[in-house]
Amino acid sequence: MTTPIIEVADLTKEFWRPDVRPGRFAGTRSLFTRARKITKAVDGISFHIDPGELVGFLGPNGAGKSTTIKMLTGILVPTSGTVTVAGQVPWRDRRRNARTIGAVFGQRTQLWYDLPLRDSFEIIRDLYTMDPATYRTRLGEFTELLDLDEFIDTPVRSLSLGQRMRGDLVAAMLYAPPILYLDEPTVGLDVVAKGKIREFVAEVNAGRRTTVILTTHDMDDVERLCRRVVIIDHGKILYEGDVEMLKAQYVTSRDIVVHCTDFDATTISSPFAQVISADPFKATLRFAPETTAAPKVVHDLTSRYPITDLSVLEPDLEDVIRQLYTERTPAAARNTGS
Amino acid sequence: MVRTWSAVREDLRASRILLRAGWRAAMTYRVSFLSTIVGGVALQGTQLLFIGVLLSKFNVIHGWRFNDIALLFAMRLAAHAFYVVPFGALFSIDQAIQQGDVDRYLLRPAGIYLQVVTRYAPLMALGDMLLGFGSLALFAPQSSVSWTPGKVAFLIAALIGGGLVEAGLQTFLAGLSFRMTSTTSLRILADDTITRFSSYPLTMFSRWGFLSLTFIFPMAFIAYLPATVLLGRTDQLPIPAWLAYISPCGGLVVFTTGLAFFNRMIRQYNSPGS
Amino acid sequence: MYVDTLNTRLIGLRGLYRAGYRSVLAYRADLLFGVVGLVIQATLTVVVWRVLYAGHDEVAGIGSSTAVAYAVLAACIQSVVMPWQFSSLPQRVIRGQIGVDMMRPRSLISQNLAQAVGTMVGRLPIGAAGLITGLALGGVQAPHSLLDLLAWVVSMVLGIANIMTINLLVSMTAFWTLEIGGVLILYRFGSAFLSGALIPLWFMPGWLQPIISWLPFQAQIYAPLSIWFGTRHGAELLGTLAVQLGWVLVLFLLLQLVWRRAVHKVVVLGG
Repeated sequence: MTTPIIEVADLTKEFWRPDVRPGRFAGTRSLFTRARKITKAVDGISFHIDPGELVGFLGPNGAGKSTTIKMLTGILVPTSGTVTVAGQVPWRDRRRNARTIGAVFGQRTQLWYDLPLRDSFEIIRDLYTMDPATYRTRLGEFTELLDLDEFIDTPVRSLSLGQRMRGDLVAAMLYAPPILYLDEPTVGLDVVAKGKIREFVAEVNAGRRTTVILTTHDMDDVERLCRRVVIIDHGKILYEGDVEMLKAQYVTSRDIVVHCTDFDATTISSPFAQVISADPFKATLRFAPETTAAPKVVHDLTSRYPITDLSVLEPDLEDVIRQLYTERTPAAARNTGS
Repeated sequence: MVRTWSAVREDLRASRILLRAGWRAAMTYRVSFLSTIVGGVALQGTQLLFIGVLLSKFNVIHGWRFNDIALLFAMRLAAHAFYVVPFGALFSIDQAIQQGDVDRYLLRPAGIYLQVVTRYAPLMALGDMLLGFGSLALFAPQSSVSWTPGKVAFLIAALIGGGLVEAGLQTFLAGLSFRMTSTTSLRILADDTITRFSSYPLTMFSRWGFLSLTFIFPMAFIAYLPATVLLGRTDQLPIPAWLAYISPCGGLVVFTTGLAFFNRMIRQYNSPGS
Repeated sequence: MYVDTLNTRLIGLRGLYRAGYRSVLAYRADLLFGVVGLVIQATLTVVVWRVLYAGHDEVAGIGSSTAVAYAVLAACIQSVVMPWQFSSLPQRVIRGQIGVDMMRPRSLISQNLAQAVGTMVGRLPIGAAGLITGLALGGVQAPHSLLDLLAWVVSMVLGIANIMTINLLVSMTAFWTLEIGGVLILYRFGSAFLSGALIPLWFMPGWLQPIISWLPFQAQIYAPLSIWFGTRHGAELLGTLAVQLGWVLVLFLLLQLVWRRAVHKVVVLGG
């Protein structure tokens, strides 16, 4: 059993703000009110992350996801509960914690806005007391991996979003921290840029064994990168475990699409599946994976019909998540072990 | 709350790195130098105009003649430069918080205060420097002080101390930003009060007023108390003369208090946004 | 078909007025410190002027109580009408958001003015606190006659119109220069000096007075306050009001002209 690199137990965070009934003179009344409204942004969550994992953090906006990450990184002090990251308490051992983590926030850059990108890297090199030779080698590697050459001498304020994001990723990984936090790193990027970012993250996780915590709304990010996910809503954990198991538990139906060239697909039927749609060349059938395994349906169809092409559609993670959000109950009852 | 020696050393290194970055970034701005200098001079310069015009009509205020009041003003202006040049970026603490920069500072291996103060180079401060040292060069020789090397040394210590008083006060108030949404108007209030009223013989605000301005809101240490020492007027003070003689140390006390409070308040930080 | 009647225009402007008013209340701390600040400033100002006058009965023909009251009133007016923050116009120009504003059905000028009036009304409590402080310290006296008071009201309205128009004019330089920060600061402190807010024009050096009297700034604060203190009567009073009115008209015209050029610059030249 490996010791977890991140351990969270009963973590809670409460915020308060003035409480004023809306109505006439609400603005003036807010100046004098003393009533407070307390919000529990994070309500007693617990989980752990092992070294070298790439974990996805999902959840609706305002669900407590970002607050949790901020407590993990040491930005916020918890109201109660414990957080241990690489053996340290992030908000207490702030400086030491700073050297063990890298962070990229999608909305806000950490780079120096008016200076060339290269200057930001050098400043980070100096701030984190990097050995110059190590810095040069690593920067060289990253420059090649992410194609930084064309804009490494351009001021950060003139960079496109994709270029800036690549710069931020390098800046975060320059001093090879064992843990990397990514907050919506692919938001607003084009397909090619997203691909490059994902490649880099996968490489950094697999090649350098960096533990990666990825907060995202993009299901493709999760599908391609994460084996494990933590889903947070209303300050509690809705689900925590393997992506595959999540899909298996929540997917009630899967679709099979069959194509026929010389045969009328509208006549296709199956005792194991229900026809959803059909035209002369293509039919889509739906079956319940819980009761019938996919191979059985495939075998049934291919043995009785002259099918030229067939595909079994992957369960859509987005649908699964949406279902989870609407249900809004913690997955503990349905979770058969994680 | 005691900082370890390694943290201090780390910050000294970091300050050099961050300051260099800040001034390099400032050089890339396209706004003209002149415009920035003007900005820096305008606020403080207005006060100089005010006292200049008035004293030409009223020759004396509270027993201080024009040339000594001018020295008082010049000392205040020069002390202000010693605050604004190193610490001017502190003014933007509210933006630093609201734009998420403080989140980032919490993730770096350097002090938060240091990173706030070096987040940009306050170009306008150069105007204050020009005004402060210029008026000192102009009015110090014309004052009633018989200058000796000792007095000059005292003056320099007093200016640095005065700068630290203002820095300490503003740092203390900036610490409140971690708790309140916006302390900008509060800090501007403190700045305005100091700008308008710290260059007068503060004993004119009645005994109670003077004591408040010395021990509650300690702006007497900025220019007035050191000036009484230079001008040999310490007998007019309702406090023991030796306090005035060590007035340059007031800056150290105020600054360390303010900084300690600022660092304490970071614990109460609620990062903006969800 | 949308019909642009006077009624709809007023409704639209009322919305912006409310926006200005609400923006003052949005930051409870700012308002509170505005009050505290003015009370402190009023108190210390009273002391400074009284000490200045120690040993003099009259300076430049003005007595101590008048000078003290002037300083307090000027501070109150300044804090209500000329706060630190100018209109958001310069920022919106720099950020390129001005295009959206130009597409709105109401004219940008009336939008900004409505908002400025709203903000001013929101800040009235600050001025009131300062006035009360002045009265409590015995530093402020009411005008000698009802006529003076009424004339002051007219004069003050003209002064405020003057202030807001020039504020907007200066903000519009944002369309032509990047140096808007420097321009605004220069204007703020230059006008504080020239309007008589900082020092009553009675005390200005002799050679400076004619120059200042030809500028529009003295019509902002010095003119109304000299009416409050009863230094203008009869023909002189009417003359002052006429000059103020004249300035407001000239400035408003200038504003329209500058605005037209600004629109031209943005729309036609894509500035």
